[in-house]
Amino acid sequence: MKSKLDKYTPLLKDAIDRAKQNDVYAILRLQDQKNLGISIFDGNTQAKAISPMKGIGISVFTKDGSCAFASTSRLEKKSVRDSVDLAANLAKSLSKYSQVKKNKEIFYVEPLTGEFMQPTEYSFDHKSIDEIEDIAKEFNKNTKSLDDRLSVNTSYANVSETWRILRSDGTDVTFNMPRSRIVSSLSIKENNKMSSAHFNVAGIDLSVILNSDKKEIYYKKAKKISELISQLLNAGTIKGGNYKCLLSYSFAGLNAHEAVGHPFETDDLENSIIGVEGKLKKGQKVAPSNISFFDGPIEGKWGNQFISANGIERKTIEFIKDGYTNDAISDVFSAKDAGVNINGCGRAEFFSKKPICRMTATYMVDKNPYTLDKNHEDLTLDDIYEILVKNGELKKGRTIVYPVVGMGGQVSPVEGTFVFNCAGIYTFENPKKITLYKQALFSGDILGATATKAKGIGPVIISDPGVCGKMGQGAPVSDGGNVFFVIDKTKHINFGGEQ
Amino acid sequence: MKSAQKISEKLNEYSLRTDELKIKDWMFQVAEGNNIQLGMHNNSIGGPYKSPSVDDVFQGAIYIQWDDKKVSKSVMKFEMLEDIDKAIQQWKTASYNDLDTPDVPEPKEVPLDIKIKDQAVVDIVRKDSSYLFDILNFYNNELKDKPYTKTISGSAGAGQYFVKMLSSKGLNIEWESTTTSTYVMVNDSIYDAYGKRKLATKKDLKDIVKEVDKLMLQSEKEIMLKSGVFPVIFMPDVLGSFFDKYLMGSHLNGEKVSNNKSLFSIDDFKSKKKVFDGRINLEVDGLKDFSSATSPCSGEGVPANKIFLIANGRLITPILDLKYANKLGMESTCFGETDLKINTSPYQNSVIKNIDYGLIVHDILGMHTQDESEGRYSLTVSKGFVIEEGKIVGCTKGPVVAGNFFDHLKDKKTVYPKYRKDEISMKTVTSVTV
Repeated sequence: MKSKLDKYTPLLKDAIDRAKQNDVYAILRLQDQKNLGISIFDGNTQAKAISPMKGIGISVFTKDGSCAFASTSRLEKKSVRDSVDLAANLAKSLSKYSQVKKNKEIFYVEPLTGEFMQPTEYSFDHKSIDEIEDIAKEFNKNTKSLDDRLSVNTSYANVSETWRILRSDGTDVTFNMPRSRIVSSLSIKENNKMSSAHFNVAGIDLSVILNSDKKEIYYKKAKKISELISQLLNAGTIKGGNYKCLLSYSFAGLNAHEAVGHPFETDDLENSIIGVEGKLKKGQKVAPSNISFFDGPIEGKWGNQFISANGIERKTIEFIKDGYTNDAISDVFSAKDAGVNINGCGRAEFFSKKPICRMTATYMVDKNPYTLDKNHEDLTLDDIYEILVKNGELKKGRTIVYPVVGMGGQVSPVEGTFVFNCAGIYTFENPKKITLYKQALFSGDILGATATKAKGIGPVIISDPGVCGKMGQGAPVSDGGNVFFVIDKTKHINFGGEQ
Repeated sequence: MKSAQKISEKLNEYSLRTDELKIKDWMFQVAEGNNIQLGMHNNSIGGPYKSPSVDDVFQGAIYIQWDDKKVSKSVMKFEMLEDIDKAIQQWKTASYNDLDTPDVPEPKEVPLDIKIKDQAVVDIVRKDSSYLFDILNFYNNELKDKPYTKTISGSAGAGQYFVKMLSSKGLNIEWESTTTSTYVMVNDSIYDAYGKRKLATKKDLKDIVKEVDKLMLQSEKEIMLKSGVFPVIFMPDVLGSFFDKYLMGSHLNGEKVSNNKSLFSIDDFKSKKKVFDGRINLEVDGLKDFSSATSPCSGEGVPANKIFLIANGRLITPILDLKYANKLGMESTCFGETDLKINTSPYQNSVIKNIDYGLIVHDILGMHTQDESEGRYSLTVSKGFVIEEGKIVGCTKGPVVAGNFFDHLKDKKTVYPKYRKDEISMKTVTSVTV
């Protein structure tokens, strides 16, 4: 099949030739993105647009490894040539400075050619924007009907994105990264109290809003969130401290990405708590022996990327294997320094950004978990209580806390600290008592928390889409894990915060 | 700017049509320019992740009212210039009904004489970028031999932009602006930054290094903090992020006020309801010389000005674009730098002297994860300094501070110390868990 980026072949080849004339090695990144966005608030359209974007980013390397970058959205021969010249001159001008970082690793990788296109069930234009607006309004109306006090904002985004990467070594690779997501934000304001939370359903095309299985997931989530924020209006605040906890796959995934994954990125391993003098120390015991962490592309998932922004195939890695450090989230530029293989993890949000090491789908796995005999979407709080008691995790006189609805997180790989937030938090007490508390942050130190005894429940679920904002670049990512993890009480994880 | 002319001529053609593509009114802004950036990571300038970069920038935004009363709002990209007819048809395809959006406004007088361009920055972008290298070399030379230094990272950048705004109602203005920014960070931990439309002077750079040096020296000794409820000082950057999250981006946002997603109703603003302590004034200053946020007008043509969002603790106006100003029956607000103004503030050093045991919050994790609904917060302190008997005795990391930001703003006992030139911090009493 002919790619829509084929028409730029003469322009790209000319830019590669121009780099050669400048005596530099070049990586060209052509991005073609079409973004459909609709926002509905309580039945009324707030925004509706289709935004196309194209441009080219150019990284150049001199023979001694000095590098520079230029970008332009003017896809004309003169502008692209000018950008190549600017980058080449800038790279050459670095030679007079003593403390310039040189990197020649791109010269030693094998060239790659071909098309790696992720198939979608529906084309981007399968429905008109007016039809999609009507569908989004229907989701919004049905969600609002769950509780007449609700204000509901529903946003839908569908992105068609194709990249073509060319290098001076003959690499010419095209790949796509389609993605689609419906997000609803629900809030209730009553008697000067407010409560709100949001949820989303994501995929790679219009199936997110057209297919019955996805709609069923959306409405199950909508009902749960609506009931939750209603109850949160009058919920109390949990006492700060250390608790045994139950994490859903959503929080296990957030943990896998934020707290565990980021320190394994090789572009700053020199400052990471996992690095030892800039290298990954393999075979270090950092987690219980039943726990592994993975990262890699998964077809059909939000944020999936098969090929790196440097034109290298992305691998799936088990970066913590059975509790021991094993591999790292590496790209061509820093893998060697980190002492690991090149895993193709370089990603750029836009053509105008330089690629950095990024995750794609990241998940925490107990390979021998407790079994679960019910679909995780259908589990009630009573079901969860019974699962905990049946497996001996919630003994008489004990308490387990259960955070729900993730609101994101942040990590400092240098200081080794992490923080997550949730819209609400339940406590399960034996004898049976289930109580809901307001939003509570949980935080701690990465190494201590990761090493704490953890036991998985149920199969691995990867469906929690998000956008990672490392270094100001938004990258769509997925994460997940077994349906639940029971984590022992530890001083390394604090819940709440109020004395 | 040829591109703007080309677009306006085409839009005028569509105003004369008689079919469904007939345009009633239009307004757009385009910016073209260049940006140059240089980075330093772990003591080395450049490298694949921080290589010097030159970006050719084209960006714009357009608002169209069609003859059938539908509206379109869209960003503009360079490729649209290749086929403006196609772009107009796409905008029409994505048009929608929005009864609250007012007509394209009549042009207002815009302060085009405000200071937003520095020729020294233009020269860096157009002629010689070596000053950016000099900035990074300066950081390196000043900090590399300090006993605490393991790694130095930073960046320096400069940009030049030409902006043009046109509308079918006769708005036709253009201006040139510059931007510049730099930061330095030691051991991936302590940093200071500068960002204005004017180039950082040698004194500015020395001040950055001096601040980093001071904080690094205070960080040399790590202290085990005790849990409890005691005085906490939120540094200006941290306090600024509280205002952004809990007020500017939420309860003072016109859309949220209109959509009943703010704790404040429009009647609260119209009646100038007192919601915070009388010392609290929150001003948007769109006229500040060389501020990064200063621009002659907003993207909707609202002229730069100075306004109060909160004065003497009373609500004055939410942040309103043309749509929500029209819907709520108030004046639209300008862009600009948002400043907390307190009439009388003691200096931070004198405040610290009176604290027996306390915490200075220098950096936090998790602000974006907070639920701003009722003002509650619970944040991890990634870098803090411990006060004992009126002195800073060392640093700490990881404690959780929790409380209610709105309660702090209501509390008459909250103190707002001055830090450096115009910056204001906040001293309050709140919960700290280790």
